[in-house]
Amino acid sequence: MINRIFLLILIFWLAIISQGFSEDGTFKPVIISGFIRDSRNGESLSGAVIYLKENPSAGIYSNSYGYYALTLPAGNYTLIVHYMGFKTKSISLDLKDNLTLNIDLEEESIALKEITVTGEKDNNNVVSNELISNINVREIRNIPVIFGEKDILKTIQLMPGISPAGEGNSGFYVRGGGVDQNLILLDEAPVYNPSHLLGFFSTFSSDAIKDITVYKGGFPAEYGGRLSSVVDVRMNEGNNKEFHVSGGIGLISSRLAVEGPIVKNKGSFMITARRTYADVFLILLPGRGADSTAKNSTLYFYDLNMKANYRLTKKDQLYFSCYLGRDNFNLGGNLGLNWGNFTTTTRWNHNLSDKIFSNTSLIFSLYSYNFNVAVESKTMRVKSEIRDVNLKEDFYYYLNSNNTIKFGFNTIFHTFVPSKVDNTIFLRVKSMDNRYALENAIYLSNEQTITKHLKATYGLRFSLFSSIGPGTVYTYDEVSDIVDSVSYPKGKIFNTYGGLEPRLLLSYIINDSSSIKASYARTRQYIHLLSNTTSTTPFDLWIPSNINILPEIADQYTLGYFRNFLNNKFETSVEVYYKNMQNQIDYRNGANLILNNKVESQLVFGKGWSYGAEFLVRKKYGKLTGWISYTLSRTRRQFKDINNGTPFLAKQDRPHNISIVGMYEINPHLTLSATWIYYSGNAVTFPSGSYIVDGNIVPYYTERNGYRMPDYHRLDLGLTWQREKRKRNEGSWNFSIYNVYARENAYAINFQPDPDNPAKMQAVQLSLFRIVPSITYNFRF
Amino acid sequence: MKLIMTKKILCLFQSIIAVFITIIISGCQKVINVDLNEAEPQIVIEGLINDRDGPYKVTISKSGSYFYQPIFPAVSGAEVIITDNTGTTDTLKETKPGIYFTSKTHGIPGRTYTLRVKSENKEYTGSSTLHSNVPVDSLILVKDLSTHFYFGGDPRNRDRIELHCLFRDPEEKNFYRIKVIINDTINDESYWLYDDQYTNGEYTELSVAHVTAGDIAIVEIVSLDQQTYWYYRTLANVLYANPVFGSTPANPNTNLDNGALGYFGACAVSTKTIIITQSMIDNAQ
Repeated sequence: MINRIFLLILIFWLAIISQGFSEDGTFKPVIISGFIRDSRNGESLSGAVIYLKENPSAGIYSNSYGYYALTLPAGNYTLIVHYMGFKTKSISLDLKDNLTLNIDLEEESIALKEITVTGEKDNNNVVSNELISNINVREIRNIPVIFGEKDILKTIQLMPGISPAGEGNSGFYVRGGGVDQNLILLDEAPVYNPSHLLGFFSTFSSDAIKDITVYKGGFPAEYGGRLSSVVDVRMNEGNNKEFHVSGGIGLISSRLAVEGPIVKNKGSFMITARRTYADVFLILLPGRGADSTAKNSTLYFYDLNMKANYRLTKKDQLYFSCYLGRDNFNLGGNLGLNWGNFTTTTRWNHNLSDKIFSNTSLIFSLYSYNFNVAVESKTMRVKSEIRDVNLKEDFYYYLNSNNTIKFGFNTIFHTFVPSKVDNTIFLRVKSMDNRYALENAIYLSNEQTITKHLKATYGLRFSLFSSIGPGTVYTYDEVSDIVDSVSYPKGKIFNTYGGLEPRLLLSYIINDSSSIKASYARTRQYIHLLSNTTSTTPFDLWIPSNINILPEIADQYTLGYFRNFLNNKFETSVEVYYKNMQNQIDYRNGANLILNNKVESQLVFGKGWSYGAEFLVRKKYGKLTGWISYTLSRTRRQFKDINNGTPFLAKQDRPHNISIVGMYEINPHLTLSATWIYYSGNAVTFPSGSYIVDGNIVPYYTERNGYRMPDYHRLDLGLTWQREKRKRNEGSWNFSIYNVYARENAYAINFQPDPDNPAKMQAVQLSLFRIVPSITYNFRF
Repeated sequence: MKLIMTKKILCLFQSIIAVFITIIISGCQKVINVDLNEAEPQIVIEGLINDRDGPYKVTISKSGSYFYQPIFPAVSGAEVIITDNTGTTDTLKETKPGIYFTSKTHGIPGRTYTLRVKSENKEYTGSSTLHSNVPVDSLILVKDLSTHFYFGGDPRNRDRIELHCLFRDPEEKNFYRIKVIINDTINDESYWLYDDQYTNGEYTELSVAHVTAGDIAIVEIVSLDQQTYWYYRTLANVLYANPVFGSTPANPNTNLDNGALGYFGACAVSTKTIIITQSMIDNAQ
């Protein structure tokens, strides 16, 4: 019965979408297809708008690989291609037969934009059927970040709805979701811990990055696996016309990038490397000088990005990308801690026909940390890993100019090594059991232009998650004792969970400068990050769903109004959202997560919900550009075992979050930039009284997260001075100051006895950074 | 003989991260003013029975404010009764304000004791089972390996001597608190808690304190029931919370109901004393 209904719906749907054909009786469809590229270096441009002057509302977008296909009746047209930061191209066509048309766009300065002919379609934020946070990688180059490092993950936290987890904390919160609810992809490979040095830097070196697309809601059906956001980062392919070397030397780190053609115009490669020498900080170690500990210690991190691509035939292109990064901390040769990610993506783009584009990717992702201790001849090593092997297939079917169908599947084999202990010192510490799981998904979606005013993207994703043996599942009672255990042999599939994830996004385009967009998305998350510390540590544990830990599910509804002013010079938007999260995880009082094979017994489950309103005003052109974003929001949780079952504020509840970003081009050589961030402090649990037990004064807590940390705010300034260009030689100096007015933002608040009066308690605030200046020299030749 | 170091690993992990953070940051600390609410005073009941001779004490007080020189008023005139599962009922007598003593109760391993307190029209109860007594088998001295990890600082501490306590763990589920009193002062690691999940029924060795020549050390093995063990563990979490790496604080898990703070426990105690001499230190392994 259900199958018949599905079949009927499918037929009905196919009939509707092929309406595009019915208008003209003498219709002969002609297909224009090809790639949109940057004329300077051959990099493909994703998200370029391609439309006909004669029919501006039916525009399509180049896909992640720069490919587009437009089906039209034969005739004369003017094709317009537009991409932010590039000169819009206008091409006259007399279409009789299918045409392969690759289009190269020329870069253009944003400041100059104002003077040139306006009236171009820079209203993408209004008319596109997408809910994305649009960050132009070029803009990021001017935004100052700590230690002068350009950091895309830090920059996206300046957008509405995306909030930093805090200084010294890797990760960010999107619309009230936890840090593990963000899917961070580098060329389709998930990066499990995209941060260095406990969150001060991200692993994304801006030299290597071409595009970054952030979804906070209205997720397209091709993405899944995390509840709150998708951050899709794509690497540069490399200049396929000429060789270039670029890099930078800074106070804390240096970078080098080499790119060039493998075969001119056919293939290229790119390699970037970055290393910090934070070893500088080792001088802050106590007992330096006489002690050799500091001398034998190391502290650094590095990132290596590599990508190569080659166009095999007109229909086939191959890519290989790779990322390797590591943080290394070693104290006196005795104690070592290192962690990092390694990802590789091998891709094959293939045109099955002009209308059908396929991408097949084989992805490998590894995150591991290692801890080792050596004393005389005895050593102990603890290793923890999560490994993914992923096969992904995506099809783009450009049915006609009103319908773009996407479908595909994704299958990931996860290996979890929570901790493997190899030791001769601490004989009692045992390894935790490995876990294996298979995460599968298939999806189908259509992006349809229904009328001149109404666009819809609708789709269905179906996901399925199973654990695979060898493995043992324990069942626990209320006091965390094992009551039952079931063991599964190698290869046996058990504890399967899954379900549908419907996705819907509707855009009603009122006119060229205003629109209303609404969306609904259901997402499922099958792997979870366990961390009960206030600060993230490399010891946080990824764990799969099973009978004890059910998959998390979220439903998100959004409604927004988008309006541009003064010929798209100003973009504004207001968006409200409501997100409902099920099967959220929290920890028992006194939970022990480290090296605990019975870790699931330490968890408690409940629900969460968040809602808010996001405002954005953005100036896109002129000497002064930038934006102001303001988010007003609430996030709550409710657990039977916490706070007596009454709802409480989540730690990441941020009632107010403001970012003001400005970039001012003083002259073509000098750009000044400023960033001011403000956000409410985390909700925390502080005592509301005290009492005596066993001779100790014990703090008394009333409710969970009933207090707040002090608000966080800081101002950063940056100045970029571009030297005169000599032949191919370019150089620029970047000066930046982090936290200009040196505010001591609270990192933690500790209650301890007053040293002058031990009977009295006092609150001591620990803050991390005061004012941090930095200089970097960037070069390119 | 086996070495149990789980707690040390946790400390090591935490201290590494702490050092890491210290290195990275040009951090600063300052005393700040935090406005805390003043919760309504809550009743605090603390009672402990052991298998030695009585009388046993139950203390009842009220909670106070957090910052401003808190006063913890004693609760007088409460009706305090301890019963055991053989039917013995003992009404405690208040000798000093807030302090109540038993007269008929005897702590006997295997029995379950229930405390009932009636005060200001509210009733609070809690039960605890007295577990078997686990005697201290022997105390020995061992050279401390972990001094080699000491990061700079005082070279005097390089050669520390650990006091190890050995005992045979019975075949049942056991929970322990090890108390060490050195030269009449309680060692500040006073919540040394241990459970036998990995060493059930085995001859166990625990490192319990650091000592120097001339110290007089008294080691107590306090055998607890699961509830009391969890109380101490969640209490230690609150008292020694690390603001950076600690988890969200919460009131300790108590076996008392109706919102009372504190706990009621029944435990079995065994002790052994050792006087540290220089020759013992020289012979340490």
